[in-house]
Amino acid sequence: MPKNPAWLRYDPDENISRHAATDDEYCYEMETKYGWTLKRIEKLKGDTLKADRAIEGKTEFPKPFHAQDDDNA
Amino acid sequence: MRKYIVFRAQGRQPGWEDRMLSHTHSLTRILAEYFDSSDRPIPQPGYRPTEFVRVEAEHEPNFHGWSTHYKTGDWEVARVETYTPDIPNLPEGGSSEFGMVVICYCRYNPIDAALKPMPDRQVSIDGFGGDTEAYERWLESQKDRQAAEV
Repeated sequence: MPKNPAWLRYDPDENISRHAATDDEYCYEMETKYGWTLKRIEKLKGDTLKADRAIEGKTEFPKPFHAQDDDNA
Repeated sequence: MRKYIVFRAQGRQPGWEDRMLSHTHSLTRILAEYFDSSDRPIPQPGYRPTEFVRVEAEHEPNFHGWSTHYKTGDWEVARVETYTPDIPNLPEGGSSEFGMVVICYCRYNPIDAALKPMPDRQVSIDGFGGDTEAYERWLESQKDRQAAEV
């Protein structure tokens, strides 16, 4: 189970997820924060997002509360 | 417990002359490394680390990093060793970076695994180190970019 109890959308059987970051440091931070398995970091061609990490399993970020409200409206 | 998992080729495995650390040009037996903060068990003999593949014809610089696809790898774990830190809690406070180092010795045992395309990448405020302003600037730039493309 992920360490973060709010992390509801995580399925380790769903292969690979990709997450972008501005710095490789944030790739490692997310791995520890959410209890993920970080399999790889690649360089991205971009001015802002420069690192691309491959994570074991399917990961989805919970929608912000206001976005959920919009959906329910 | 955070684990550092290193997959290494056993001796006398093919392709040794092509396994090189690009920044030092030193030959290496390292095949892959995982940083694992999950509670999943460590790899066991028979596990195959994921292999990342670049299909040049399908590479889109604005979408991909280096890899375009991934698959179950051609290397198979044959033996596993684990190491734990001498002092889990450091004298100056805090704990060691890894609770365990796992060395997985692998043999080359190719299989005909299907290539899977790399998924869309997700972007969140965590990717900006929690910098809300930087994240919102990026979101705005994406709106501008989409508007320009229409």
